[in-house]
Amino acid sequence: MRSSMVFFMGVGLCFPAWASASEDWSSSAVLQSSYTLYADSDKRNSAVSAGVLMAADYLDGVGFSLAGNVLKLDMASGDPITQKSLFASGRYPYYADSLGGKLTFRLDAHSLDLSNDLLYQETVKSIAPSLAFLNYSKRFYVDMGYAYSMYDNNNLTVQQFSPTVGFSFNQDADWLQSRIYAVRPSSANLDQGVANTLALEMKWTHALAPNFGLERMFVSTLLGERVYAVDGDAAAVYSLSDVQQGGFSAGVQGAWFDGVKSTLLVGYDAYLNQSTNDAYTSQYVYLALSKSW
Amino acid sequence: MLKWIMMMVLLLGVSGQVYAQGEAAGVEVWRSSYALEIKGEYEKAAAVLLPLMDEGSNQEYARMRYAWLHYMQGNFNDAIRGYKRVLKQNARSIDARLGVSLPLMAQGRWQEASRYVKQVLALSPLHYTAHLRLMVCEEALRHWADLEKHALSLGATYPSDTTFLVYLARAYAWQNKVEDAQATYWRVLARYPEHLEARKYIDGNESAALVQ
Repeated sequence: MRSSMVFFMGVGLCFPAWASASEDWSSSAVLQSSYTLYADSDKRNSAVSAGVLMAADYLDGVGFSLAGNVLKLDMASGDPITQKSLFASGRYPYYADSLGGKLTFRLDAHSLDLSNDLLYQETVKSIAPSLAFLNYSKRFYVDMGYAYSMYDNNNLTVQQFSPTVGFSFNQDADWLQSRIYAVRPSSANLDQGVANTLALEMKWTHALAPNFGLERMFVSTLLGERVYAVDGDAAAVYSLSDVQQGGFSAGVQGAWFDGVKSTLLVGYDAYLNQSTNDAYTSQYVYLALSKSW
Repeated sequence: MLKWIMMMVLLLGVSGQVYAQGEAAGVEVWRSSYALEIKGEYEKAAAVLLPLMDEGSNQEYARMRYAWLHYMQGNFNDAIRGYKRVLKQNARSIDARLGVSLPLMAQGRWQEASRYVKQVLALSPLHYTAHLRLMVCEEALRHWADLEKHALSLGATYPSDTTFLVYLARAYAWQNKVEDAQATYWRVLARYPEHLEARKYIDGNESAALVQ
């Protein structure tokens, strides 16, 4: 049995001061947590997660991120499943004057370990390279992402192609981003008979005029079907054997003092387990606190 | 003896003339480069400087101008390389540091641009252009607290300057310090009554106050 896991990366307010010793380095730490409640599910009750992410960039150049996260899934029957995750990412920019923008080469690696107190054990490893372009005026963005994931339990591999386009409008106060998730598991038999899934995710971000500390708000929707997705923006692997059949989320980000920011997100997703015809939904709330230097 | 002196005088006169002709030819190259730049022909304006870049007393200036003309063409990487080459030759050059900050800013490399501008301020603490460019970087990086502190510190040195006041007002506005932002924008209007941004902010906040 696979469990439905959502993996978020978090913020640590206790990032040591020595890491910001040089002005040439910009660094940040994120502490985050989430709570998910399942409705109408035969197997899942709720899930809670917490994690930390740290990132550093050198003078608008190379950068890297490291993160760890723990998620506990409470099952309707049986022991809860615990997922421990590690994430590492490296990025290298190239300023391409002939294209009028910056190319960024990025490589992400995920390692997930799922188990309960009985015999259930699963490990997931994923590697995700991507190439992105952002023009110098930061008004147009395009990327091509690829992810290759290995689920050890059933010798399942999953390939994902995720092209993305984003652009600003309304005098740069708004940003609209669209991403396609084309996911192909190696075996439909190991994936509830699902050979391929195709989904479109759209995110709208609106910058707010300075008021009560709120900086921006965002809305996101998922159309189509998605399974085993690797989300580069969330640094997440959705190690879920049930097919996600759409979703919606909304959130706000606030900027406070001394580089401290907070993000609050609420969301709703719909799922279907094709093997048991179990259709259910999840509602979640996500909170992150970040500090940058 | 007299013959020897006359030969020396003749020789000096000839070499002086050759030197003057060489210098005159060099000035013509510069004149040509400036004229081409005014017409917007930056590539040609840079090309005429090539013979001057490896020799002569204006070698450093030629290299800096070559880098500047690359910047004007949008060849930001070439401009950055050019200015950095000048800095390797002359580590004390303020001009090269200010020069390299422009293509870096054009590419959105605000952190690196800030680094060079701060080096200028270490050499020349009250350098107006450097302070201005540092404020542009602080605004782009959204370092509002730093921008506020920076703009405030220049108030005593440049009390009649409008631009620094505008940056101070923006820093206040983005930190939601509405009263401080309004007071600063009023000071901007005292110096420049038609300033659109100041008028827009004050009018917008007066309307909001009336609604409340």
